[in-house]
Amino acid sequence: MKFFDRFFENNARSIAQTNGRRGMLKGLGAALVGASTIPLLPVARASEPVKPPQEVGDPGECDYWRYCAIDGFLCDCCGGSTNSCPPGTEMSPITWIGTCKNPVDDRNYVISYNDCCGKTQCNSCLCQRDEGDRPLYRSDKSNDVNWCLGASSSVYHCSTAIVVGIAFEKN
Amino acid sequence: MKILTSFLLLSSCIISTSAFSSDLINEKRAKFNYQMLCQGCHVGDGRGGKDVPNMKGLVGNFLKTQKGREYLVRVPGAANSAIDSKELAELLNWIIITIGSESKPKDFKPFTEHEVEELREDPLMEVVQYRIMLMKELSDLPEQR
Repeated sequence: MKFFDRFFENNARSIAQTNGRRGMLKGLGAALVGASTIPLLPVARASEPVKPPQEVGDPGECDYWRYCAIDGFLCDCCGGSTNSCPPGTEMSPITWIGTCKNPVDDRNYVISYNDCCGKTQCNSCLCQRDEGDRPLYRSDKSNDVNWCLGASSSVYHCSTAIVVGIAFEKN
Repeated sequence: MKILTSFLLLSSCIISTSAFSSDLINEKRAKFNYQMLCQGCHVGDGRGGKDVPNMKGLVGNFLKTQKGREYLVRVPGAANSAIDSKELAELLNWIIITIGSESKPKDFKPFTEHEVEELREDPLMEVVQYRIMLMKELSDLPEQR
């Protein structure tokens, strides 16, 4: 026990002699400033999920803002939602991406129209607005491609409309 | 303690600016171009899937050979993309830094507009076999320490 007493006493004294009382505050401050920059690293930002924007409208209706470039059945009417697939279907990771203007803040958002696959087509709420759709020779910008080609079953059921980013406005 | 404070402040400044040099990469534009032109197939973090190659933590390996470096520009998704060569160079550099992460070579020399402009004039017509050949060349390289 004596050893512990001596050990802590010596340490406490040597710290008291070499460091000021405000030293810890300074260190803490510096650490806080240092730590605050870490979440700003680009890697962290790149993987950060996009905060959902403020919205108006009914995701069950074709005129909902996120559907500006859609061509298909709305998953919202098929037992899923704008962000998720109906039970029993699989979301294709390979997808068609466009931008739509959100009427609330008047900003363009990047929308990913991931298809839900693996069940016969839903057949309700067909919505075809096609803004920004390009012919098949620009296959990455054509919504006529069966994007279920990226899923394990290529049978198309319905389409989601997920906000994945904010558009960069070129001057 | 003063020295420690200055060191922490200085290192935090370096950390926050070193990943991207602002005059080389406009991060917001590069990320937007990635989302619009690449993400549809390569997915958000570059993992790809099914027949789409995985770039995450790997794409920087192509820079180990000159042919591999050229491949990144000549591959149809890059060479035929609907952006100018300045933005394509920026996008490729962003992909290598952000998605390639640890595969980025220590002596990484960013693509320039001029280099990209020249290379995309010679796009690849056949990709799958060419890529297999490149991967073999890369795997035959002596391991660097």
